[in-house]
Amino acid sequence: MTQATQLKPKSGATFRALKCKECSAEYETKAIHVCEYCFGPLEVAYDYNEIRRTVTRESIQAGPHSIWRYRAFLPVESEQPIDVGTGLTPLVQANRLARRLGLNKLYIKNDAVNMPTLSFKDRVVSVALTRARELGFSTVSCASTGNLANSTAAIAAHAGLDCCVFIPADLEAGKVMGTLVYSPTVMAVQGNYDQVNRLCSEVANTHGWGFVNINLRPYYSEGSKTLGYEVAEQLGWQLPDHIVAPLASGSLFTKIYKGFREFVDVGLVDDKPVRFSGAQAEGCSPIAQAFREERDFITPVKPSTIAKSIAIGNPADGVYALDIARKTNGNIESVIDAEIVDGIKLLAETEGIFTETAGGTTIAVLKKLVEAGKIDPDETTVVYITGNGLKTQEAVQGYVGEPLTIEPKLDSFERALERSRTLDRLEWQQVLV
Amino acid sequence: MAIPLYLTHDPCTQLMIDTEFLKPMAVKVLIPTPLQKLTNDQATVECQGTTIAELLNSLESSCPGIKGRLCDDNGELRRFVNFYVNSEDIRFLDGINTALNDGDEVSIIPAIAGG
Repeated sequence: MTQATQLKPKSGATFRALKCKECSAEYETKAIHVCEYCFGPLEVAYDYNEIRRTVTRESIQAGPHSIWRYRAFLPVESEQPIDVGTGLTPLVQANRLARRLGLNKLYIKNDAVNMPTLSFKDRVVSVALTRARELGFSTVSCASTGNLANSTAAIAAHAGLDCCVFIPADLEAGKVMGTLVYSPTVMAVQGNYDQVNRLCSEVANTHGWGFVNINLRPYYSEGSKTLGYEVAEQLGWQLPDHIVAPLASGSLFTKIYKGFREFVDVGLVDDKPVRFSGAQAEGCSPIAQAFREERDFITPVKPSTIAKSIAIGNPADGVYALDIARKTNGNIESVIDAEIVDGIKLLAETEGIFTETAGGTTIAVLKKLVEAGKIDPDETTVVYITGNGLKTQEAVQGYVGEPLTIEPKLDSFERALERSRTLDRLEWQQVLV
Repeated sequence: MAIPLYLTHDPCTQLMIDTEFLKPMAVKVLIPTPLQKLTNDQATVECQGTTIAELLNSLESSCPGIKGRLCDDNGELRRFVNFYVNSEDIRFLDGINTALNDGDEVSIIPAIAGG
């Protein structure tokens, strides 16, 4: 077994230990992710007094135009973290979608255009690989449903790290291509994500690799807190009333919550209740089922949905996501695949944002919650769109119309235009043709 | 013709009987890194047991202290521990009563990973 060498913490780092979320046992800040006593997840512990003393709204605004403006809240020591322009994605006021749904204050946090690989995963990977380098790893790895593999391979290439990623063999072509192009070793595992993840848990620690979402998971997952910080900053240093986010492992959801709480605790924003609602695809909805049945444990499922990026049947942070949705008076809902496709189209047609299936799931759940009266129209609601639609084109193929093929002649264009207007009118009148 | 070792001649009935069921089940258990201090750094341990519950007791006798890490005070498996028999999560089988056969492979995997 190869172990990474532990470097001495440099001055200026605000994190001091890893702490078990269940039994509070503390560990050194090495590449470990579970408590050896109770198997609970390890989480990074910070010196918040130090952060409170040194960080202000102004110092953050004077920082880089990336997640690293929140560096004091992230578990790295390096003077030069890996900064590929990740984060600070647009917070779009979604007026047309809001009107369509009957809401008044709706925002989209658009990580479909996050850099460099067009999903929120660039945030967590930037943090994980910075920490991997500090811990002395030369090879990085991950278990991925696609987006994470894209991000790990790309940022490893930028940082000059060797990379080996594990994905389920049945992923969308765009996600596989979007990994292969960076020339990592790609293991396409004949199984679902949970099987890939289990295999990686067995591989981690045997080759001395840094698995971003296994042995580096305590550091990696902290990157998602920046989705909370940015929304607070972009709303003019205040918290929203309600957030809606996709749920896969549940990690992103819990870290947005942690991000908001930290900003309150160090005095950067005023405290207020924020409701947390989560979105799952019906074909893989272990957390939504537990929420519905008022259980406090998750029963794993075998995924069957087009929303492959969030198809985790055995979600690591499921119980924590459940807890947050309940204690904040939020909801966890699921939608079927046809609603997911409609959700992708609705966001595209009203806001000009092309998201992947996870985003379609989130928009469809938003719609379902509004229709059920579970979102107050006057709440400031922020919906997290975490990935880009160009990567999952298979999902909408056949549902988005086709181009009108014409000859390079004026009358051919006029005829086609007339035909398309007739078709539009027919569709608008909801008449069977 | 060679007789398989587990066939024994029964002098009363003058028949060959299968004594396979008399042998204890030998099961290979994959131990996760956080528990390897209790197994002298061994990543795999051979154990006996016809169910996961029995296997836990067998593990405890060869590696004292290990059961307390895997089970809570009520003897239930901790919620952040996953058990797999031949790659299948025991929650899709019979949980702690899942039957084991000779040669099965049991993996103990921390639940916290991925996503």
